Amino acid sequence: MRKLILFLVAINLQTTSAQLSKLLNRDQYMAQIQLVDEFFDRFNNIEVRPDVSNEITKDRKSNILLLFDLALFNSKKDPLFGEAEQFAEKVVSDSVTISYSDTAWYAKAVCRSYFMKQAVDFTLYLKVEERGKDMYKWVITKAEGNVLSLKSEKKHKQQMIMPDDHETNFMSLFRMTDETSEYITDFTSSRFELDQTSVFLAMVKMGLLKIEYVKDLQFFFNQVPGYQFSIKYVERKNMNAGWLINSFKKR
Amino acid sequence: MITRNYKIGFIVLTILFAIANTVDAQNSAIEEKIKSRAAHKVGLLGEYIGTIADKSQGDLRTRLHFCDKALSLFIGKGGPYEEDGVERKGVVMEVTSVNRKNADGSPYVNRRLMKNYFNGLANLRYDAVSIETTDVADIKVSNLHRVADNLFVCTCFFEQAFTGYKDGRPVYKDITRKAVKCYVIQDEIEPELIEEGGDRYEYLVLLGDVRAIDTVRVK
Repeated sequence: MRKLILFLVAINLQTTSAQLSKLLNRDQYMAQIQLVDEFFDRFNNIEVRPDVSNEITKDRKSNILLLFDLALFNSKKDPLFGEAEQFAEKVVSDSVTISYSDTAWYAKAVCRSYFMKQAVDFTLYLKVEERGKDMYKWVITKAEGNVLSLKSEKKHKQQMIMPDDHETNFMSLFRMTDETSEYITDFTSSRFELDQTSVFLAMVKMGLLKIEYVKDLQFFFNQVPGYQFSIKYVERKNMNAGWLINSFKKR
Repeated sequence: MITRNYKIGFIVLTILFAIANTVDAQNSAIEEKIKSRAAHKVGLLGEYIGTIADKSQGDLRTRLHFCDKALSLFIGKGGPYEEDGVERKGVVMEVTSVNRKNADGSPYVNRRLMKNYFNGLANLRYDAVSIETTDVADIKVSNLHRVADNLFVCTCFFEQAFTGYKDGRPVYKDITRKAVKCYVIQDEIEPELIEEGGDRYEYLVLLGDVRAIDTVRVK
């Protein structure tokens, strides 16, 4: 019980007054998880939150719970907090560790871009790939977004290659690309599945799509048996900030 | 005979294990040395930023001299550089503001060439500024990643608090968090110059693009 009270006191710490005369709050800075590598170290129990007492941090389950964005929970009675405890127990019981070189994690980056002078957002999925002994790189595994679907907002009924066009040497194909290029996907077979990643590559290659910046970034992890969880950078002026678990679900 | 073979096998394994442990310890020590060097370089950048921005540190010409010193910390000295056959325009500072938003509600992001960023810093409208930077010992450094035989990369993270003064009174305060890309070039030392027990490589750290993660206005 004492342990639980200590834990709740620790997770509710908002600010410290260690450096009242200075603008920078060192205790807060050291407690926050500013690097993804730091998240790995805290998850793997290599590093613990420095502002929390040894009595709490010697328990790995508590350390895992300290990695959650506490804004997810209304109180300790919140059923979601109970689920988070179950998650933490699973991590501990299965001695789960996560590593940069794992294939079971990936990044989801929402990119702000401009297409035909209009701001558009699309998502890139990236994962770590080995490229030699002890050498890795991030690679794009998938791209998705409305701009890559090539769908037209305007509806039509009879934009098609006419049934007798074979008799005219398909001369109407010039109209398809000249006059009805906006509906180009409607000219394909109903069984055709568009590959948005290829569309992304083609658009970039043609100079039609340029990424301005990454608008939102999350990392998803599948290393905990039966669970998927994600982390996101949380901006907040207290100890519970930086790269934190912002979602978890049973698989 | 079998017992003897087991004994030999055990001794060989013990020796191999000891060698592996020693190599691991050496690698770990080298990695810590490189990380510490990267943090030191980033600390220098923090100091230069303070000097460039603060008019009480000297006239514009003096502070522009510090811009050049700061640029020399970066790959290509802040100017165009080549990376794997590709011409890069120069390292940039990307500033993402938490408080300032675009018309559509998306975060405001501004990207400037480092030399332009430093020039802007030298010409701020305040009479004086004070900049407080995370201690070098507290700069957070990511793991080191090898990208070529003699090249590593890592990221350093630190905070900076800025106070702008007019007529001796503080009129603006903010806190910015910066993530700096670091390139670590490994150079082999001439055998005759290696000190006894010393490392056979030396490591040169050059800074790359910087992301100013957010700017929190302090009231």
